[in-house]
Amino acid sequence: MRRAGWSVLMAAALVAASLGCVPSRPAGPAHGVRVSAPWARPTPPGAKASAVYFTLESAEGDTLSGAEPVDSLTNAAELHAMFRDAKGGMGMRALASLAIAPHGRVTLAPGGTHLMLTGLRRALVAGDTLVLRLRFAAAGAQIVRVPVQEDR
Amino acid sequence: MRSRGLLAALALLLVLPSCGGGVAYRGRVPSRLMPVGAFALPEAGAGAPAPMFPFRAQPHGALLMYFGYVSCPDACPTTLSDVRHVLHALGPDSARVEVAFATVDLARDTPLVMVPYLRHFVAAGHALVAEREEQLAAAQVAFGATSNVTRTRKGEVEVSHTGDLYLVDPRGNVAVVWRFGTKRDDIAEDLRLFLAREAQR
Ligand SMILES: [Cu+2]
Repeated sequence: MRRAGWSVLMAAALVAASLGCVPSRPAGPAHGVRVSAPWARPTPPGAKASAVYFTLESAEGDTLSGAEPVDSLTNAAELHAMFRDAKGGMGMRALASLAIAPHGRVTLAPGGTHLMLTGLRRALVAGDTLVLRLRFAAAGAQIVRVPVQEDR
Repeated sequence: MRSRGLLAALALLLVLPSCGGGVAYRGRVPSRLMPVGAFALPEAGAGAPAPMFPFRAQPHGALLMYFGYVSCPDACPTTLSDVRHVLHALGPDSARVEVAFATVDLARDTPLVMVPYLRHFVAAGHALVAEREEQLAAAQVAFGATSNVTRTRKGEVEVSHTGDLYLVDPRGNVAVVWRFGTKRDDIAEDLRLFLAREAQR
């Protein structure tokens, strides 16, 4: 009897352990877009614009169709892509939307695509958190918290 | 006597790779001489009237030069942040490196805006603000740089500009051009090599 009790306990422990080994789901909705590693640089005094960077992943594929700040630190957020010419010239152009292919990954990073913030009310300092609403064509709206930090 | 010969041979080995122009910089070495030392721009925050800052490094030193603008959300802070990291990586040698940042957005970037902006990245940096468009354009032509400031119908200011970072030597010539996006480790490595060569001149 004592033995049986032990084996039940052992079995229960094993089940519990194996459950604990199941990888936890990435943050975000099960069917939707995973937004990871968001960040923005601290801004120098006088700068009225900044940029937000993050990575988007989607199993089904989706389209980032717009974004707006939820906090009161900035006025507007707009998708921008950098363009460069052969002579080293560069500038930005607004993007109407940003597509993520099924099982795809799109990274917004310095020198590439960014979410441009305009109308900064004050300088962004390390430790600040920006709050943005990203709008996806299929997954709907998603709130993202963006830490302000130095680039690594 | 023998050890002297050995030392001489070693010294020769050290010097050889830097001879004959085949220096392995990771950035681009101009194929033709790029003299910029005869050009200068007014330096903000350095006294009144603003003294002219010539594009020439200190003896045995280096000058890093970049054209940009304060409202630039991506390219300029990325480059200036890289420069700050590079100076840090150089350690004590960074004292031989000067940094100058010239605005291409003369309508908005006044001296009062430019000085604190640059100090955020490089405390001892030189903030350059041209008095007239032609003065800026002359300096840009010398570097092979361009910029364009336009106002959209919605009233937004759009700026495009050359994103290169320039290394200027003490003779007032551009020694290396780093395209935007050059890894900061590569810039630091080029600077180490450059400073080592300048120290021997
Ligand atoms: Cu932008």
